[in-house]
Amino acid sequence: MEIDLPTVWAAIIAFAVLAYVVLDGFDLGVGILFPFFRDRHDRDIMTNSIAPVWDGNETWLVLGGGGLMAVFPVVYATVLPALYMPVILMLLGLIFRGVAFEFRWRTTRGSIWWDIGFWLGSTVAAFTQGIALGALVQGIEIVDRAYAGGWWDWLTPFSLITGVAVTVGYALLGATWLNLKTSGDLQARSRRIAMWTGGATIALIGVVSLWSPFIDQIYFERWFGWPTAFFSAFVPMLLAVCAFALWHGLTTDKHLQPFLAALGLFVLSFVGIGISFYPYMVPGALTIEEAAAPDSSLKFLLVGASVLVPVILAYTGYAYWVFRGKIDPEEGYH
Amino acid sequence: MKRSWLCRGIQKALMPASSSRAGPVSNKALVMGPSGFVAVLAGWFTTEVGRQPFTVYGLMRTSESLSPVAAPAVGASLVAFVIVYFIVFGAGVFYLFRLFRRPPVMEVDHELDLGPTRAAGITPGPAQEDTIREGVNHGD
Repeated sequence: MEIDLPTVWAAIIAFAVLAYVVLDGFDLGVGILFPFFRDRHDRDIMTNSIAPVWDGNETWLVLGGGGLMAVFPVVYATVLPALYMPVILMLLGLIFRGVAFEFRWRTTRGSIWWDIGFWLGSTVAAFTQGIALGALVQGIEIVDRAYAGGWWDWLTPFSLITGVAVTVGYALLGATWLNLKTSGDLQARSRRIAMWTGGATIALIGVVSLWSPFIDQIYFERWFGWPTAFFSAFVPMLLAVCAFALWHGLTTDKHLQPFLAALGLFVLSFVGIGISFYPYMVPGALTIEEAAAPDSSLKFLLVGASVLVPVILAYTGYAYWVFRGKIDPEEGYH
Repeated sequence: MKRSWLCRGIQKALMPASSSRAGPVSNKALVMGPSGFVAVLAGWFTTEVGRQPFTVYGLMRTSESLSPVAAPAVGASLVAFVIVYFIVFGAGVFYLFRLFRRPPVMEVDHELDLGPTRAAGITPGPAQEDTIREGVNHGD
């Protein structure tokens, strides 16, 4: 039985990155929304809503990044130097977001500073992730399996727009998560925020989706060229369905539906990127086959991953199940 | 029973409220506290220094394994990490020592709370009114 190992591994890495984006999406989103909640007790409830799960959510980034190093080392070696500054800024943001979780409980007068750190870390992490995505869509200049571009190549209007889009999208995920997990006034306000960020996210998805076909000819042919346009047309249609589900869920006071609709927006955007990229890992430069490590490495790693990833999914699901339901404002999760 | 000035000094610095009649074992246990940290650092230094000038011993030199990242960018990121680590570890050590200063309190009227009250991997600090905020339950 002949399995195309690079494609299998590309799917696993893509899944890990998607899992990271949707799971840490709402964690970072809650952080991005901090300035909208002036009451300290509200912010306590917000952090309590993600406290049990945020650690595990962030580890999908490790699986994606570490897996990339092991399985597609050329991509790791070319894309990360190209995105050096955004990646470093993202890491610093994630450090502050992580410690602020704990340190904000350890002080009374200083906790406002850690709240600012939490917000700033979350926003910087989200923004730089969007920039990295935009820079990747634009293409990385690779000559002879090494990065050959400049140091500010990642900084363009397109990548700044994708940065804003991801930040607003994460804020939408955070707001719909709060709508799911909180009650009372906090939930009502997060619902209003979700309406605004929902509209903004959909608008930004539209802007980025209409802009990217003009970045590279390949994208244009994928999205507008026959016959692939027949298949890729499903993505905007399903996006419209999710947008309607989001609006409907928010206006009829559904709790789970808005969150799932927002997740749907992210999954569909990710699928859209996949449609644009395949079979390239680095658009215009490296295909999946070219970038993969030797088959023996892939086989070795696949054995481990095929055992561990289901275990990870199982205990992650269990953790969400244990902490299901609304937050009790009196109960602590800390 | 004589205790060294080192043990006494450390005990005084970390536990000002403790009794000077503390037994021999607890002082030694206290001094051995950072030993795990020291051991890990010693191991890492041995590994990283010992394998120089190779990245893959005998096969690839460190000078050959550089990424094509500009030196100013690497330098700036190093400085940024040092600053961030000083802030984060500094604050952490400060809060840690503040927690150390109080001896543990025996809880009375502790109600059995059912259901999960801990985030994964977090151990609770002892209940201390002046290091936590009022009205927030810390699962104790």
